Amino acid sequence: MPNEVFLIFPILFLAIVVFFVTQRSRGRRLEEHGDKGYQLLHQAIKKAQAIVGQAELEEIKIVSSSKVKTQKFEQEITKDLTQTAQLYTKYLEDLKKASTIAQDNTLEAIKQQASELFLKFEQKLSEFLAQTEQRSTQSIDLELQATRQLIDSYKQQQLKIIDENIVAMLEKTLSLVLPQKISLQDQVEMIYDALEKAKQEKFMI
Amino acid sequence: MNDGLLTIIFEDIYTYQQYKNRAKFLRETLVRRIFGSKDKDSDLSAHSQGNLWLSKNGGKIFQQFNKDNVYQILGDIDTAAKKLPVLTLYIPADLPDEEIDKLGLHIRNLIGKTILIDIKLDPSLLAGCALVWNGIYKDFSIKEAIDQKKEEILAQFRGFLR
Repeated sequence: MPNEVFLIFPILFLAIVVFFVTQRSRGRRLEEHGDKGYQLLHQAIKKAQAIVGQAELEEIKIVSSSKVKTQKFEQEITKDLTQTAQLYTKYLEDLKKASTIAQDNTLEAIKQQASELFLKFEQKLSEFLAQTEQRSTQSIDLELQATRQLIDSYKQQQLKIIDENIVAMLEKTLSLVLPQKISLQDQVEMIYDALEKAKQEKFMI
Repeated sequence: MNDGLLTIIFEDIYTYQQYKNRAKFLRETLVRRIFGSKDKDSDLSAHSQGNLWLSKNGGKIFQQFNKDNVYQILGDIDTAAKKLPVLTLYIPADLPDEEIDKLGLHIRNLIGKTILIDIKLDPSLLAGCALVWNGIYKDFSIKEAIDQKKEEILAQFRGFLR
């Protein structure tokens, strides 16, 4: 270990010396480079100024030519636009006329169709009402017929019931009326008549 | 007991109810008379019809009874009464007692022997009567006459309706 420690100090010393030498040489190179840089820079600036001047000249040329072209273009455009506007106006007028004609024709056609439609509707409605009336009449006739049959059937049934019960009704009526109308003497006489009849029939032998 | 006693007992009664009343009256009279109190007839004063009948037939009746045979004879009378033929009459209206007596007498004369009548009410007969004799029922009322003429009556009504 101590050997290594002793070696480090010389190495460090050498590194410092090299560094200072290097720094010094670098410094001299830097000054040289700086001068070159200033020269290059100066040349670049001159060239740039030349280029800029040239560019400005070119610019002026282009601008003037473009102004001429622009004026010419504007004139042509204006002329074209005017023509186009005239054409467009004419077109709109023609369109308006055609539209008006079409509108009139359409209205006429609509009127015609509406008239035909109303006429057909009226005819259909008349036919429908006639049919409905006929059907209603038939239906009512059928109903009346059925009702008459029902009434007849009911009447027959009631007459049948009356026939079956008429004797009972008569007896009931008499049972309600006779006790009030027949006197005791009449009752006794009828009992005697009944006994006489029994005797004649030889019921009590 | 002889038939003469039965004839006397039933001479003016015609229904079984009348017979029961008379039998009761006779029993009480005989018991009082044969076994009874000093005043023999005092309790029977209310039975006017019985007293009337007794006043008419008392002699013939009392001579047949004594203390030895009274119950026997009364029992025989009861047995004989139950064996008497009964004519059942169905009538439409109730009759007073006098009319029932007349009817009973008339029927006895018609038939010619002692019978009892049993009267029942049947208002549905309307008028006339129905009879039951020997277990046979026969209707002689107006109701039966209407039923027999049913078809004729129906024909008459149909003539009105149509």
